Amino acid sequence: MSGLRLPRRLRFGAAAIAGLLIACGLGPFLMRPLPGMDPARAGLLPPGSRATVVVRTDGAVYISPRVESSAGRVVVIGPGARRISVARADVSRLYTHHYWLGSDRFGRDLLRESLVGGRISLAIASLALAIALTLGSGIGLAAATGGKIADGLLMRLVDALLAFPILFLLILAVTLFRPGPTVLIVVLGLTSWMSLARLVRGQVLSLRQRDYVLAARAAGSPWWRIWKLHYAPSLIGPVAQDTALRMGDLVLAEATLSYLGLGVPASTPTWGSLVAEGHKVLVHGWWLATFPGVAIAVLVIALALVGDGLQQLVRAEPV
Amino acid sequence: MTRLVLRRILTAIPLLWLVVTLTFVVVHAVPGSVTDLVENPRLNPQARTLMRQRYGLDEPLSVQYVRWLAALGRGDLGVSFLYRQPVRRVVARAIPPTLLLAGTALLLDLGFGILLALLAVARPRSWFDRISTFLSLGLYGMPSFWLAGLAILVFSVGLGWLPASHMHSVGADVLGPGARLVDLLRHLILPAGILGAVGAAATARYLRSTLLDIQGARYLLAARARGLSRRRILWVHALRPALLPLVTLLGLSIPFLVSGSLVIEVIFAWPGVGRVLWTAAWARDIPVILAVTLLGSIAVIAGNLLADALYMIVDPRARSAS
Repeated sequence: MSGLRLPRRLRFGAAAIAGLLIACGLGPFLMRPLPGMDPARAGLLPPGSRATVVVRTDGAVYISPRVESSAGRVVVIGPGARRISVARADVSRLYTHHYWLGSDRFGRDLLRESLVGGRISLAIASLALAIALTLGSGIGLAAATGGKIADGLLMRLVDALLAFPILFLLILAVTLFRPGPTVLIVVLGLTSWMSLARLVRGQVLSLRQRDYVLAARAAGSPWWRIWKLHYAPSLIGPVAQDTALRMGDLVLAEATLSYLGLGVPASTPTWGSLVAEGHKVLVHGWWLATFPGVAIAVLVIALALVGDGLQQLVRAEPV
Repeated sequence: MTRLVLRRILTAIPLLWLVVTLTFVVVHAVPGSVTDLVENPRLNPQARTLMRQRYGLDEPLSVQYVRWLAALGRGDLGVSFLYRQPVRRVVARAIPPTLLLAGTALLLDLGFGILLALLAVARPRSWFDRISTFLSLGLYGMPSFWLAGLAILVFSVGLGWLPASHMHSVGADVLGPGARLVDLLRHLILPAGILGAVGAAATARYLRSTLLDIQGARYLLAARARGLSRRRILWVHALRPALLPLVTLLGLSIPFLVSGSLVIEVIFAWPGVGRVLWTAAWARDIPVILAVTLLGSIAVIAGNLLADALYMIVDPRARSAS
């Protein structure tokens, strides 16, 4: 393995993906959740602001960047210069919160929402990818090895599904069934396996003609040995590359559907729905739509870099 | 070649049948129908039944299917539940805006994509190459709906240069033809620009790597040895084979432009096919859903066929092989 040097873009992309995964996986646990508050009392806070959180003993929450405290009272200055005075004795908790990426109109921390949303987006895309990988490689293998009739039927099915404009199909499926994470995962998975099936089928068919495979078969190698030693190593590169790009497509597709309100319920944040929420108040808070969108772009670009790097590796390999 | 095209058209017919049948089954299988969505308190169960009868939704699915297919054979797409107009008119009205949007986007896509790739490859690893590679990778990763929001924020809200939605301004009917055209173009810039930029990024990325792959080819070295200029070699000798896979890509991008413009059409309230499908899907307007799906599939198949035919025109090897 001494000669193996990974292409720079592969390392770079993989590092970016790992960083995002760790941030989305651990971030929400490390950050203190803000208590929920009345949207009418909340204001949009730009990125980098600091706000004081005042929790009253009866559970009411006030968050404002301007809080004055005097001897016996705490005065919260809300949006529109509204002053709310709370007696010291009634304050159960009082602390400062940093909104690194700003807040939304419900006073929620955009950084935390983005990390939680990223976790959901990634989970949906990964599960859909798992379905697509299983179906794609399974059907590709079945078509390549199952004889002429199976091959013909399966490939016609692939043709028919590819003849659907895919976004039409997604939107149709999600609007017709009730939107929800399960529907989203299944629909995304069921509509993105076709090109992988074609790839696997083509690879297996061309590998079967290779001299070394013929030689192995002539020498009486059992089928599992041929698969393990001859097919699998040649299949893994192209499949990995396709997987990286497919994942990027799935993240974008999930974001698009969530943006259109067809994904998970609006109360659950995903990157797409966060952008949609941000677009509702675009004029008042540019940051709300911007940062989740940047997160999507970073992930998709990192996946594309990994895909490019893998392609470089596959091509460099002596065939 | 004519025979090949004819054969492909004939094989497309069962494919189209499969697609529309699948859609038909899915659309009818899911719970909920157009009659549930009419929120009229005076609509009692009898009225709903009457409505189902009028739309022909009370009959067995097989009867509905055969009737629909027979009508389709006569070129009759039915009547829209929502608009109460022939589906043909609803869809036909939406096609020109989509063609205008997608066509402009495609022109921008190819024009800028090819130009950027050529300029980048002319001096690999130059600053221009780096910036354009970076930009095209960035545009590839950005979701188009997000870009649309950003563009609206900057150009419509911030600078106030361009309209944020629709195809014509309110009251554009009274303008003269010249002013109407300017108004239309102003509405076209943002949606077409975004679709075109995203497409151009993909095209440039793809073409750049193909061109770089070709750079080492011996016939290019031979051309150089014959004393041809670098520019001529790049623009004539290297570009032609590099455009071959692009032709395939172009055929495949036609459906993308049809369906990819859906999101943009919805965001910019552009009265195209994508928005018609969007509205129809929410309203369970089955005849319109089926018609648009059929249209979309025809676009995909035609795109593939067109790509193959173009490929044969551009590549002599493919011609002799068939």
